[in-house]
Amino acid sequence: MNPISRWLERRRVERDLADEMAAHLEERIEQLMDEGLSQEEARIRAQRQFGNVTSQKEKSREAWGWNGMERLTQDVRFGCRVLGKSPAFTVTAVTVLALGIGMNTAMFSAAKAVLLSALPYPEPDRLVEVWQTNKAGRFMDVSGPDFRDWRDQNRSMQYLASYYGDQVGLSGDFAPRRIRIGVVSIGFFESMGVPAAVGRLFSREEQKLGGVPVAVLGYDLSQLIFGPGAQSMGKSVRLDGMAFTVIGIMPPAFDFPARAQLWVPQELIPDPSTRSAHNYHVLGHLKPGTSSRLAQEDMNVIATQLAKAYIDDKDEGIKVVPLYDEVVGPVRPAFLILLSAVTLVLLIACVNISGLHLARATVRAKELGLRAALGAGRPRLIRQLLTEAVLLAIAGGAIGLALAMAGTAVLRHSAPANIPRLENIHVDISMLCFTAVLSIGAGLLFGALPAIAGSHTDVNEALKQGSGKGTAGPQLKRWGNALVVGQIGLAVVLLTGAALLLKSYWKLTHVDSGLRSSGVFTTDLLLPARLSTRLLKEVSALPGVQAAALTDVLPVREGGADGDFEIEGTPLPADPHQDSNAYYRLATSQYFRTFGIPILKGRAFDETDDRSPEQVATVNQTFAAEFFPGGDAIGKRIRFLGFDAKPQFMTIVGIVPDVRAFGLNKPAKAEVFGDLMQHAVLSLDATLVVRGPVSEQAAVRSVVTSLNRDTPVEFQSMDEVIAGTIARERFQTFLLSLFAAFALLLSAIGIYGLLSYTVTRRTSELGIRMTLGAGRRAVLVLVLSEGGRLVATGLLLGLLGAFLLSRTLASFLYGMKTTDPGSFVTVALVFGVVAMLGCYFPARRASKIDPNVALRYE
Amino acid sequence: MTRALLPGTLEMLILQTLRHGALHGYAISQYIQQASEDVLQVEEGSLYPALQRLLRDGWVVAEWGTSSRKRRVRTYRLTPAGRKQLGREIAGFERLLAGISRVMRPVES
Repeated sequence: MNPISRWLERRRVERDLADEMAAHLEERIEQLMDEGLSQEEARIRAQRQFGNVTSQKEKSREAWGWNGMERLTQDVRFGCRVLGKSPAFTVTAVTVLALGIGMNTAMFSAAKAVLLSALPYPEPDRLVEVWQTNKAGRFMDVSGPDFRDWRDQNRSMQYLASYYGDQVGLSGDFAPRRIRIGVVSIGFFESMGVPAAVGRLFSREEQKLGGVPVAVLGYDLSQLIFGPGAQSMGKSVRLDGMAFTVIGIMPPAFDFPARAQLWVPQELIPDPSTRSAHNYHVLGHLKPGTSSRLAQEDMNVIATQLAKAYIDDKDEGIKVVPLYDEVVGPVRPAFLILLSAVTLVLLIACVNISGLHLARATVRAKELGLRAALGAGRPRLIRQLLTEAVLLAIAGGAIGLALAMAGTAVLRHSAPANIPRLENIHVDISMLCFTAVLSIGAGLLFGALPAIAGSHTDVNEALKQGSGKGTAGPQLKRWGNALVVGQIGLAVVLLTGAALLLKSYWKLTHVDSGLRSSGVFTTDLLLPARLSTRLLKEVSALPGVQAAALTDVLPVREGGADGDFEIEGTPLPADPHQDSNAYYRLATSQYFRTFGIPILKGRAFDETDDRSPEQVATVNQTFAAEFFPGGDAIGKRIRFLGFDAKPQFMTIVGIVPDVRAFGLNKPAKAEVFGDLMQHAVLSLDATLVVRGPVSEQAAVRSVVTSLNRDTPVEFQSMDEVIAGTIARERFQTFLLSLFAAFALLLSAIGIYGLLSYTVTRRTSELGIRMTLGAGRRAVLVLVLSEGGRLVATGLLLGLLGAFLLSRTLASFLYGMKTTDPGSFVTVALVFGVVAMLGCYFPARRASKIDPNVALRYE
Repeated sequence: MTRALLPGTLEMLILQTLRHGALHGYAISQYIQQASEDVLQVEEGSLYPALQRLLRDGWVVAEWGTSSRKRRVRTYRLTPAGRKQLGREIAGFERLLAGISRVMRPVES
């Protein structure tokens, strides 16, 4: 039967039923009148004997199995009408749900992209990262000779490849730009198992010393420099000035290692480095049937042999780590914290709406009673309430999905670059299902409890009571209180977490880096070394520029390289591990002036030193204190062993204060600054730092490009550079604060809703109190104190919970304890104020009650 | 019904009532009350859901006719399938009754 004829059929049956029931009643009335009753009496008696017409019709429909769809449509239509009639409730509930669901969906999409999805390679489970470890078990990069021994001696790896990431200037028939490249050995692409999308990968002929320089491009980079769809095979590009021929393009998502945009063979350049120079990352591809645990045992054997054979490898070990852990491990803790936080938010949202529903269902007791009297069974009432809940959840879910889509877009664009794979988040089917399940689940969760409570309504009671007052038993009231206390508690936990992170972040941004960073801008560049003097002279001559310098390593952003050094007149220890070790960076004479670093003792190097054969150095305070505790560092001579082919002694001429060179949250280490001009290198891969107004950037750019048109010039202010180093902290703090703010708002709404409802319910009682002489103030205090008790209870529980949970944040906090009293007090104050505002409005409404009106409220 | 009937009993009573010929709803309720000498006070409305179930199962058919008071009413008639069903229900009912009687007998003695 098609739907239309089925509908016609039903119409007929319903009409027949109504007709025959009406006829029945009429027959009965006539008969009763024949027996001598008045028409009115007869009608009443007949109806009583017949029973509830609606209910009987309902049961009759049930016989035909129509009721399911019928009732659903009815419930939905009715639900929409009811929700439409209380817009304040509906808007609040939908907003709360939409935000809760939106935040959760966005956050879980991010988690899925970052934490859950497998690495996008054919056999991700077989990929491992192999590290060298020092005596303390700290991971180190791997030295070239050790890598080659591992490669030749292991039995567990199908491929073992070395690689490292680098940044170079890319130029050609396009604007030069700075790109990230992977310098990879034989076995790298074989390990990854990803073929080129266009063209081919390196051949063995190209992977050897003196081979033809070739490069494989990343998909995005090739689109960027050659244009979409352009033929790029065989084209030439220059990397730091050296020409490479493009032979292949990788598929779009491939960007290993470290978001590389281009790959070149490692074997092109010789590797004369020793076992003490830790320069490479090592990627392994396990043989079939091998696990990383078995591979670890295999490598342990090799480590033991190498430790015996070479003094440099003494005490050093090898550690095999699945690549997945390597990629995801560092961000997992932060993500787990954020996920827990956002789950708390959703929980609070559900509790909140549950409370709103409960309060409403109780006020609606009269309506429900009426419906019960008209023939609605208890299951039907529960269904009705559940339908309303699910309607809200669906509306909230739909808007939440839209919010989530916006949210993922924001996350994708605002996330710091050092969170791997976050750029992969997208709204997909599983996320859609997730939202749907979440919204329906939330609907049932917040609908079920109030519905069951609400449907206990006793018909007689409800109708007799007249108004809704008093129908909520003490039990229901307690449940409502528990909901409010619960959400306040959860919100306080979140708020405390956010307060701790915010304070830590604030401290981090107010750390004295040791640099006067504002007013300094910087760019990486590549220049033939002979031109560096000219560059600095021309830049310094620009009218707005106060000082300019070159350095090989930009402080705060990068730590630079450390090495062992020798103090003149002090014999070298026999064991190389006993050597004195310090960080070694090169800078030009104006470096300290540019960064506003004072000279504590002695002098900075100057132009005279640049031309002198006598090498000079300045050292930082930590260095001076560590190696010359007698305060006699100046005039001493040192030389680093691993950097230059023929290391010379440098005379220490000055001492400078410590700088947070390794990051704002890291302590300074012993550092030595050599005069860059004295260390003649052929090509200068350096960073230019300039103290001067931003308006001079164009002029600086033209100076640089006039000297080398291949070098990319991308200015950044030093403040931006420093902010970039704490991007992850900022990201995490921002998200957690957002969640906490939302939780705060929710609990304020929660307490407001509960108290408003209480005041409405007690209108006549309050009226009587006022008639009997209670002042407005007394009523205000009465309501406020009821709210205050709940707030205080929730606050105490929340602070206790926060006290217990905050230790999970320990590793994210800088320079403070997880039990920081200031943060806890602040949270208590902020929360107290906001929550009491939520109490104040209903209380004020209560105090404005007109006793006359209140008593007529019935 | 006010004197609680066992589930399904009302259907059996209706079938039994219709055994003698077609009747409309009001007449059926009258008959059940009178025949039971008012022991079975059927809430009259509950007759109609029961009739719908019988219609659905094909044990009765209905057609519109006119009552003795010249009112347009629907009369119900037993089908052969309904007659068989009645037989089954009576048998089942008697077994049930016998069972109950056996349980109750010791009390009488």
